[in-house]
Amino acid sequence: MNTERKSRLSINGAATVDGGRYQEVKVTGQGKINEGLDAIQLTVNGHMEGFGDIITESMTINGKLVAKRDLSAKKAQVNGIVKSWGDLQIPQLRIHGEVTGKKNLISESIHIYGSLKLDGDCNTESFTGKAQFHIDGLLNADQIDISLYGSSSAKEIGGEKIIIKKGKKWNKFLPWLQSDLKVECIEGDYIELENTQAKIVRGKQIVIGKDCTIDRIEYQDSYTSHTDSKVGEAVKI
Amino acid sequence: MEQELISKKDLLQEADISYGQLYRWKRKQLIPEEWFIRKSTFTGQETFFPKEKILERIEKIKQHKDDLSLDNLAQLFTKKIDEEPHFKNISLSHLHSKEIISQATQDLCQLELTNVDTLSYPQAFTLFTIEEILSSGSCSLEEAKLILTLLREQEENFTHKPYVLLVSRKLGVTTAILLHQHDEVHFDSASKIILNLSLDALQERFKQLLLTDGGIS
Repeated sequence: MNTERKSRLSINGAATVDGGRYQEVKVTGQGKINEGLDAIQLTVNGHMEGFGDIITESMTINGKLVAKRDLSAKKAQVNGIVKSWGDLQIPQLRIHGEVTGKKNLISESIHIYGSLKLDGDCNTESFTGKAQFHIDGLLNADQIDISLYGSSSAKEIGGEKIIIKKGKKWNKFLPWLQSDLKVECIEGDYIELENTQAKIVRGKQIVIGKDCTIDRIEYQDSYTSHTDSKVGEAVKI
Repeated sequence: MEQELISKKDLLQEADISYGQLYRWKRKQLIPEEWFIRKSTFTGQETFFPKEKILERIEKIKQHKDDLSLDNLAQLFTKKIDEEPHFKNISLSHLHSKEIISQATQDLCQLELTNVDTLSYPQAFTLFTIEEILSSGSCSLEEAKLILTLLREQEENFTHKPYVLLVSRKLGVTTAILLHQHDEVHFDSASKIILNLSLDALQERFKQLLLTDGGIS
């Protein structure tokens, strides 16, 4: 695919195209791309389905993007839905909707006001926002600062600073909204938790806030726990 | 092969690193996925590592982390050489001026490289290996030529496989062998091994030179 980059592909209405290299791709309506797509800028204002790898510098999804294979974007703003069957490689990712991936997500900065579901691992430097997330593998992030909105889960979480709090904004209006996190293992240097159920939490400094159920805590420097939380055992290592 | 394992807890203590560092290095693929070995213990799941390998790797990361970025460090340890611009189009005259490659090596290898200044990574690494062999003084020029022919033939392979270069001499006749790192090899007692060089370790040094000194043309 080392051909010249064409300037622009515009789909207004419904169309099926082969793919190729473009400066700018805009889908307003419904577009199907049968092969690989390489675009500097990709905008979807309706529905787009890609059957080949998608590579882009910057993408804005205001509707729905379904990627049947790998998707990579240096920068992505998702205001709608992104579904991917392959690996996701998005260094700068902002989610104001929903992102679902069948494999891994590799990023540097993920900011979520919505939800993220992954069948694989999530690797990133920062993972922040008000979110609901389900990660079947490892969430590996240097800095995690999440307010939970809706029930979330991860198999493991690891990083330097991990702060999980209960989202407060909708308490009054949606008191039935369950905002909790289920996770097997959390490891980090500084860990602050609320509304979390975990089998084991290991870290240097651990602060257990309200409504946690932790089977075992292993800490190096300090550990405190809120009286509302249940902690099976806490051991200083 | 039975290897000694170390638990994550003990590793953090022994190597004096934090969870944050360990997870960061894992993210950057400085520590390969296969070294994370999960085992159930009485306190639930725990992660173990092959002790010798991980301690050696962490020592290296600590050594280099001030002068190389984590991404560059990852390239020292992984076989990925395609993407890094420092590893593309390496200039021979630059290597020469930085005294990475000597005139003697150049003369020896020049035969097929006349008037070419830019080298691919495997070509440059072949030169570097010859340089290493010549400067170690254990092989004669004739023997180095023999090794050069061997390396040239395998050029596409040996940069991404963990090879060891063995040179043996028996009754004045020299043999050069490229061997997979984990294979065992036995020689008869009349053969003398004059060189045993791990190309993996050598590549690590070569990449580091390229990354710090810059070999771009």
